[in-house]
Amino acid sequence: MTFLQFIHLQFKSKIRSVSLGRDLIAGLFLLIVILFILSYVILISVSLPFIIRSFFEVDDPIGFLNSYILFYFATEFLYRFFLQKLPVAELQHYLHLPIPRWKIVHFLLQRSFISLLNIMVILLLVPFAIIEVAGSYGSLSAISWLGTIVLFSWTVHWVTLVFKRGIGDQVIGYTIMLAVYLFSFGAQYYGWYNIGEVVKPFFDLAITSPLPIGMTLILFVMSYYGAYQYYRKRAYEEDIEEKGSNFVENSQIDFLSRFGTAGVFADMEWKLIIRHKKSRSYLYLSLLFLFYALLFYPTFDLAESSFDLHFSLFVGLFITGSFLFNYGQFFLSWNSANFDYFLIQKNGIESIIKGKSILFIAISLICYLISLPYVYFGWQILFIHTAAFIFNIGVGIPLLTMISFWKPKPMDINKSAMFNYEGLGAAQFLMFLPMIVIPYIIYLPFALTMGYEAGLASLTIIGLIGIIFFNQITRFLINRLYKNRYEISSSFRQEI
Amino acid sequence: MITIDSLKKAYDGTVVLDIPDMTIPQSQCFGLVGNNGAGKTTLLRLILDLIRASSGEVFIEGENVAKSESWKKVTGAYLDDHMLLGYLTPDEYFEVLRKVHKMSDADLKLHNERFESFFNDEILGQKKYIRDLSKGNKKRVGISASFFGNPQLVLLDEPFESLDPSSQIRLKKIVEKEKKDKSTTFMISSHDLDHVTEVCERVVLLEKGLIKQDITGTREDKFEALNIYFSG
Repeated sequence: MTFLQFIHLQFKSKIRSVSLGRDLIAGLFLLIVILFILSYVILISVSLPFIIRSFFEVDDPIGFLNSYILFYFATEFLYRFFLQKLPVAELQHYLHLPIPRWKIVHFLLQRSFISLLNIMVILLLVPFAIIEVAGSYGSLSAISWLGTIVLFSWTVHWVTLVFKRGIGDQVIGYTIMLAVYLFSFGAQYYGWYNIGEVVKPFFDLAITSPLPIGMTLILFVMSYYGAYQYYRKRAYEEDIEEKGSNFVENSQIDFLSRFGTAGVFADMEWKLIIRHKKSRSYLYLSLLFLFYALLFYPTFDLAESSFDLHFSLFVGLFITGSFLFNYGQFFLSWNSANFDYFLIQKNGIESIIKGKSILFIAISLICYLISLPYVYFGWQILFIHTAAFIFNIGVGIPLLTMISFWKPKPMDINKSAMFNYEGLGAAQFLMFLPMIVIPYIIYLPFALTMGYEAGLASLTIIGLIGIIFFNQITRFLINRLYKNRYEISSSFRQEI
Repeated sequence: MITIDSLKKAYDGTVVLDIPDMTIPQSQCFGLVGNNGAGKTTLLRLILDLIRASSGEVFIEGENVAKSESWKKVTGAYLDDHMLLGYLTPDEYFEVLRKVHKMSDADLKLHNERFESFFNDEILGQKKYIRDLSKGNKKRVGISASFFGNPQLVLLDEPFESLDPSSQIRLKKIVEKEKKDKSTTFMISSHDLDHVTEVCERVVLLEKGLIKQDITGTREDKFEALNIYFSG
């Protein structure tokens, strides 16, 4: 078997997926987003020398860039962490065949390298290298300088793969991510120290000497080899399956039992979340997103800047709804293994939808309450978060439920250790789009003409209407699910 | 063919399999029986190096399975659905296997002819992905896949389960023919005492990870011994 044959098989598995329609739309959106980003990247890259010279008013753009390049790598590590994935679950289809284990691991690793993320840095810096570096020092220096940075970025690729597999889905992983985030931006913003200056000489040297590119090349090869060793050691079936050691004694939430059958289902769903690695990591992720506001609010001037004020709605929607957006978009997929059970149950569909809604409301409420101390940065935040919370409850939940009925993906939550990363990819964040854009469509016309209070009031009113008609809307959703039930349950039964 | 040397597998301190030593000679059909949780599948996985042994070693033709991989060339196996590629049709899957095993088109044709009656026109030429096949048909695809590349050793996990009666009988015939013509070694786990005593000359009974009995003899003797054990 060759690498090309392997890639061909991977391609087939993509186009024959039962959720192809959904994947295609997601892919199309992603493509648009990517083109959008690419055009920005190219625009930035072409004008980078100019921006640095005139906007930051420095005479030495190369030195300036070299002193900031470390922050670029820190950012890269962050987005790689969320976007990159390695489909280790593929292993079990090949391990018993006469293909050496090392070869399969190499295939998987090299396939992961075919990614837009890895040419981003080239696109971003080639014009700069040609105009500035080659212009002043000659083309050889430009190649050496660019090569050093590109190889460094590619090293981050392998490091991320090991990091994500190693501690990515534990609390410690998220803590480290948060630390990197705060460190790379906070330190710079508050001017505590400038670590960028420390590594600057290394990249300066790359212009005049081949030593740095040689060193990063060695680093790149070593990190690949390290990642290979790491995954090679873990290329066993038992590492793909989660071991049954994370038994949780009693995690009953008593107050849920007040809601009758739906409460029982909500409690069941809670147990599902708490007892599976994959769903747990979504819970951690939404807790992490609570800190997201720290990036914005400290710099915002809500009394003076109306842009800051309008932008705060985004933060509010995001914070109170992050669990809803993350977990809720796979609404039925979480139950794909036992969906048939709900179908044959009396009022099963009704309970599943109501149960999940109750749970979403409860967790959103907790997120909302935790977010209240942000009022410290401006009392307007109280109104913004409240309106966002009510809107998410009244409109966001049914809307997301409705979208999720469309070609849901079956998910094997028991094998989560690996499948974990299947869910946590770029396409997942697409679902955030309608959940953010729609409230803005309602908010902006009022906010821009009559002030932000009017915008928030309209969101709150629409949200309240949604809450008042909760039963009717739920009934509508139940009927829709009933209509699609054969299609959905058959797609859940497929796909090995 | 297979030599097992003080093999042990434990999960978090709980020993699930403990086999002091055992040898399976060439061309033997080795049957594995035992109630749920006896360690049958664990043993098969350990032999295939799909999971790590806590201690001890497995050798196939003198090679330590955890240290080398050339034994994979002489070994075929079908344990569960995950060994298949669900998004391919059976024909496409066999074509992939043909390339992996470096076989010619003629070899593949020969292979398919061998399994013609086993397939019963329900596998080849179908416009259906493997994931959409019934349990029994998936099993037929997987079992025939384990015979690719003329293996010296074939491991099957509960091959009779979910096969229809005709296919069960045809499978037994295939096993017997392979053993006679090519002196292939088999290792078959099963809950079906009838089939396993018929097709295997040696049956080992596992319970809670330990070998309780190692039975050879006539079919009636084996069946009798197993019946007494499981009734008690």
